[in-house]
Amino acid sequence: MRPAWSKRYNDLLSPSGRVICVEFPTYKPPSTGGPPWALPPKIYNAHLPRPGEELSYADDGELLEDKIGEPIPGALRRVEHFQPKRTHKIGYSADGKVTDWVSVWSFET
Amino acid sequence: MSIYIYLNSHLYPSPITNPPIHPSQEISTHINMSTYPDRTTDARARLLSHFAQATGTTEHGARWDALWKESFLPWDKGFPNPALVDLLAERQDILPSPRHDGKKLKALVPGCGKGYDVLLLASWGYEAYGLEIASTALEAARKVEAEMSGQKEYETKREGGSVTWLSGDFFEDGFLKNVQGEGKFDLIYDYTVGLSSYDEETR
Repeated sequence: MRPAWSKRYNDLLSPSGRVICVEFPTYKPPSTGGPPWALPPKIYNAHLPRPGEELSYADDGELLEDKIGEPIPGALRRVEHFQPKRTHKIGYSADGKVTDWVSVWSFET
Repeated sequence: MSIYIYLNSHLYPSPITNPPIHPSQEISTHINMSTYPDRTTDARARLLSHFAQATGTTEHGARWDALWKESFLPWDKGFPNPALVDLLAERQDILPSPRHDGKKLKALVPGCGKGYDVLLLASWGYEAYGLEIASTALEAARKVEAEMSGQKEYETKREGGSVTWLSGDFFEDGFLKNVQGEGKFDLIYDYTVGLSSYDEETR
């Protein structure tokens, strides 16, 4: 359903709008299974610029980055990416570090 | 909202383990949660089995609603995401600029749960829409709105905001009929929407 999710944001955002993602959970290797399944930044960055497009994953859930094609022209691009100073409690590791990221997406370059 | 179910054709029956269990080992009900300070094993296992049977939109909607009716809400935080609080206050540079047509900025929170983030956005002047597939969730959100609006974190920082609760499926257009203007938003806030969505039956 990730293709449908990326397409939906591309369809629902106004031309000058912004999608803001608090990326979570970023810390898990996909191979450890789930739920929750891993949503590291590279998943957002692979799907949101490729609305509606199926991407290849290995059986262990790892995104096959070599197989990712070009971003779709006119689709969302990531314009900002940073770790927030603070987030919900579940976005911290056991040793108190923030594991969440914030990404901002725009049609404007 | 931050529920950890992500149901798709890659739904693995194995429990979460860290380090990973080799496939040749017997998969027992061992779940090692100690590395990640997270919700309890019981809550997670319950959510997983609750959704495992459902297929298609209607059933999933009904499943969500059942949890809300029972008030089984392990994901509910009670307050907006601090990351959102901070970026609204400190990062004007990444937020959408005022519109050319002068209309109010519209914000959408898919899967808003009890709606804390929606109230926060409204306090910053957004025409804020909270979308939920479970109608019982929206009843809870309306209650929160009535009870919490006076609290400090929701005090008005920019005038002109509003709150609208929408019932519907994020992946369908039905909810848009209750949205002002054309069906597009200037700000969409995504937190675990990808995690909490289900997969189409056809996949």
